[in-house]
Amino acid sequence: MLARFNDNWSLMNPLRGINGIQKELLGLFDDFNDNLNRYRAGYPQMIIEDSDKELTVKMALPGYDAKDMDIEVVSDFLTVRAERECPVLKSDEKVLHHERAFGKFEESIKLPVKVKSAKVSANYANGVLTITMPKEEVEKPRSIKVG
Amino acid sequence: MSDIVKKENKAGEVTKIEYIEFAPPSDVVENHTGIVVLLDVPGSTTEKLAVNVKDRVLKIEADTDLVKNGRNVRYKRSFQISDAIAVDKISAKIKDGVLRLELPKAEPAKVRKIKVTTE
Repeated sequence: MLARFNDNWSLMNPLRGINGIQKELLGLFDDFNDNLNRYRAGYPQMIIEDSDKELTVKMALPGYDAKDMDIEVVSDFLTVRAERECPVLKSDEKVLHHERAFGKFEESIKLPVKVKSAKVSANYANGVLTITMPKEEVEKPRSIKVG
Repeated sequence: MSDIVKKENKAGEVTKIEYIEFAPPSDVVENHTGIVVLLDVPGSTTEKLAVNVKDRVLKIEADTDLVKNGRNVRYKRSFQISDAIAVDKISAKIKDGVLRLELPKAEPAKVRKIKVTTE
């Protein structure tokens, strides 16, 4: 193998090498704790930003195609469907390490407020899908004075 | 826990930038000409990426505009590479949040013959 891994990913991998397990058992827990604190594997899946007038949902979808995405908003439910195709290997290619996920997914979330589904806009750039949803105006309480 | 970097702005005030670090998932594929490393770094762009090789360790650092729990998301990962890779020919490309690193194999080292003479 030409490239050897020298990082902390293996900690998250249930199929991690025997060496790693042995190290932990041999009492090298200092290293182990450090890894847990410092590293998170993967990337943030979804970030929801809430402002006065709109809700913004950001989803990390690296390497996806905008045309394979399907976004649905009904009242206060958001559904996102997308697909990332698995790359086809050429005859001379050989996989040495595989962590990235491929295939279809569907994610449904309940939004904290109702949104104007007709005015929802979406944008895909640099592997991040940003969905902007203007909030539905909430009926304000009216105070009535007794004359 | 997190990486705190102090940055000085024009007014001389020191502002803290806190990062939340992620080790991005990667794929490694070998072909005839070399090795291809693919990393998922959503939200990163060419200006925010730093790829460097030092002492045969390939280090990738990518910043993003994404904010998670009040901290900027940063991707960090390093790989140790063997002598069979031509370090000076490594190239990197990014598209839709997927970083593609191409590590070409080095020409096989030439064997230097030493002639033995009698004293």
